Amino acid sequence: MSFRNRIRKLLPPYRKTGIRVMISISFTAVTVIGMFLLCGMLILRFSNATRILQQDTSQRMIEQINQQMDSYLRNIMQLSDTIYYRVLKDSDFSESAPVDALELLYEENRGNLVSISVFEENGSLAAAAPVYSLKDGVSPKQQQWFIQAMDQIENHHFSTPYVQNLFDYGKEHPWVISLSRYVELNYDGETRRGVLLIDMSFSELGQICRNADLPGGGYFYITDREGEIIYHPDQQLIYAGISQNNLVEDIPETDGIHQVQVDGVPYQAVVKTVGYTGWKLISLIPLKNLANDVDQYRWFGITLLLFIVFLLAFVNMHLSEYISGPLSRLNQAVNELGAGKEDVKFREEGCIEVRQLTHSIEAMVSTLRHLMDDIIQQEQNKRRLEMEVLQSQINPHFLYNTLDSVIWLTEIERYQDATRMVSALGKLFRISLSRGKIIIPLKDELEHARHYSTIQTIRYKERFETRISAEPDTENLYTLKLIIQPILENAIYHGMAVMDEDGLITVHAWRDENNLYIDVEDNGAGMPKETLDQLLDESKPFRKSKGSGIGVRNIHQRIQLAFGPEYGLEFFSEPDEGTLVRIHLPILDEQAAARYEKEGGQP
Amino acid sequence: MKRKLGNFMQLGILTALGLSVLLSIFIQEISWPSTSWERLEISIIFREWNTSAWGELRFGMEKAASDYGAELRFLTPQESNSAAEQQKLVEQEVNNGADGLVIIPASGDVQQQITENKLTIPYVIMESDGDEKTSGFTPDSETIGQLLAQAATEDFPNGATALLINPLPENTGIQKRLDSVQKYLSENGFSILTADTDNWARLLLDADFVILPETTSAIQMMAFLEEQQLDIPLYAVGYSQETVNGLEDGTIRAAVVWNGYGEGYLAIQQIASRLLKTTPPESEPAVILVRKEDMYEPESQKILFPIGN
Repeated sequence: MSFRNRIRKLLPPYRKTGIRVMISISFTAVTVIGMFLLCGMLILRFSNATRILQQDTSQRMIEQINQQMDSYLRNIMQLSDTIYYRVLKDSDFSESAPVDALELLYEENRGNLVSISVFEENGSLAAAAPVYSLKDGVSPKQQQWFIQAMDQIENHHFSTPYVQNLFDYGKEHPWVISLSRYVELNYDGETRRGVLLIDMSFSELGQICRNADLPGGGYFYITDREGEIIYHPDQQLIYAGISQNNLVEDIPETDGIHQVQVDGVPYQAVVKTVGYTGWKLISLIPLKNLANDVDQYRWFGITLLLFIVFLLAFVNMHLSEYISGPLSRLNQAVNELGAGKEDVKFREEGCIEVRQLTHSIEAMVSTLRHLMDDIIQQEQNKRRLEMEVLQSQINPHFLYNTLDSVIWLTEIERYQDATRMVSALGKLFRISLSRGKIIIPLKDELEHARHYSTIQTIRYKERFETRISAEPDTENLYTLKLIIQPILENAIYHGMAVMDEDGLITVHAWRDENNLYIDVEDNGAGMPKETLDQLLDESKPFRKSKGSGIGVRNIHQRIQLAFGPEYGLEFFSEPDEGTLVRIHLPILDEQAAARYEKEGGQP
Repeated sequence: MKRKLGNFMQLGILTALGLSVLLSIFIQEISWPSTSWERLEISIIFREWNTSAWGELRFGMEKAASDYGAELRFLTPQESNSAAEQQKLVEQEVNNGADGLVIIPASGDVQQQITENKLTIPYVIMESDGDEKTSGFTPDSETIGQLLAQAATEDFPNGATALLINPLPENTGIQKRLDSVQKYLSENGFSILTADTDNWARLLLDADFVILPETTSAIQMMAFLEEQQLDIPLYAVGYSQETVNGLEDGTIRAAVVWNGYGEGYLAIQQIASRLLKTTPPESEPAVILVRKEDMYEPESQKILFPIGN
């Protein structure tokens, strides 16, 4: 199976799919895929950008603190240089200690400093500001800063924070960070070894650090080379034995961004070494919090994506409905029209193209209807003409025979009968004409039959009698014109012709609910069943018979043409017993008759 | 029919998409609440106020409040160590809808009132030996007493007369400290004098040293001794600036100290953790016996002198 075929198999059977679903699915699918790609890319870019931004912020913050710290410490180192090279080197301690100069420098840096002091090699105080004497019992020589300064004479040494207890500060016990350095003191030309001690205020250093605000709930702290805390935001708690776990166990030696574990929790650590001191600035941001920001972007992206998809789906569905709805309704209307429904309405709606299509179809249907009406009208006219032709067939045959009889009666001087015949013939034609109407009152039709019967009775020398009657409830009813006379004609020619003088034909009109029945019965020869069956069978050839030439089949067709297939003739006959022809008609009152005449169709 | 089914399907898809939008917003709202949580309201009822004695405790509490998003109300009876007033304050704070309560009881009655009333809000009773949930971090009274007595025994190896002053006889925690001191010293052959706030001055001159089981009384005693220019060794409990000065000038021979900042922090942490249903990190703050000679040792400095950040 080729790739294309496989794809086709996977796709929905689009040929069976409606335009609305097609538009909805395809538009939504395209937009969703597009949005997924777009949002995915945006989320990735934002996530990376956020991560980089957080790292940058963290690094920049550390850089900033580092610069401030470096600047602060360099100031102190410069101060120590100033003290050493400008004050101590120029002073002769055998004469007087340079206390004034130290006090001046102290005052200039009062905010940063707690004290400046100079010690001789044996630990005795050579000069100090703003303090002047050591506390009883203290031994500077044994202190770490002193030992380091004497051991490494070329370096500046920075201590970790501690409470300075060399001097009496009254009720205060200041936390300091000390800078100590080896110095040479001049005693009347003799150079003696000593130590310069500058106590920096810890709170000033802390102030620099407290200003830092790291993102993502991060914090930073400072340690010395050995990992001893110089500054920590929770320093007091750590000193109290609480929050010991806020420290990195193994501080990475190299500067940069690292991932570390603090109390089993992964953190992003940015490590930066403070220039000269070897102190390490360590910023810590929980990776969870960093991921939080990324997750927030991701979720925001997902929400945005879902909302856009929702919006697009909503718009697509409405758009597809707007496009396909009118088409679908138009299709439905056309189908209904095809099924024969007449009052189908076309709604012009939707896009202009669909409106135009609807308009065109509606115009086409209207034209079609007019054409159909024309055809129907033509058909009705044609039928009327046919009927009129059928009716007109009576005239020549019957007129010839009747006139022949009148001539014969005159010749034999039976003038009275000739007069009766001519009179009956006149009335017969008058009713036949009936002002061109197709539907005439039943009484006229019966009268017509009576006149016809009179003519034929004279012609057949009174060999049969005709009795014509009607039930009272049929008085005002109407019937198709000239339907009894041909049946009477048949009864006379086929039934009475063989009779001597006891022939009887009865015509009786009666009503049963909505049906009008006219029975024409004779006591003539009757007919076998085979003949009876063939009478109305259109598949059998038309048998030309003696008489007016209008067969009973014509009557039957006329009735059915006029009123429908449930009406027509019925035959009941037994050989030698006679024949009953029952004409079945609908009840037509005057209004129905008039409507029929007007419409030329079924009442 | 087919069209109706299609409409239902579309409606279903739209509803599902709409719900998924709402769900994603809901998840974000849960994971990263846009509004800050309601701040916890915790009331702290002191038995008295002395900045020097309770200042660090308060700083520690404020630090914890900042860490846990709590708002603190500090209350003190108008009359120092008034149990009746404290009881009223407890009722008042509970009725005012405090989420938690820290109390430093003036007497056992207050403690009894709290425990018997079975407060529905979390509470911590300091300077007491209650159960772990309610005692906060105050070192065990017996341990404190024992450390004090050991220090005195070291300074007076041949025995001496000790004056044990109880400024709050109704405070069970403080009484326990003294009981422990008394027991230890008695076992080591010391003569014991006991006094309260009314009669200690009368017995003072008969004593070789004085045991003071809480901070405020130590401050008052130092002031008295300085005023009277008396030199009687003191053995005190708790951190204060005066205690440090007393240690430095030798008025106080030894003090049992712990970090007030940490104590305050832990008290609030304990309540906040219970309110927020979290488990606080395990902490074992140090309790040390400090003498003048070792008060500037690095570990002593860390406890004795607040670094102030």
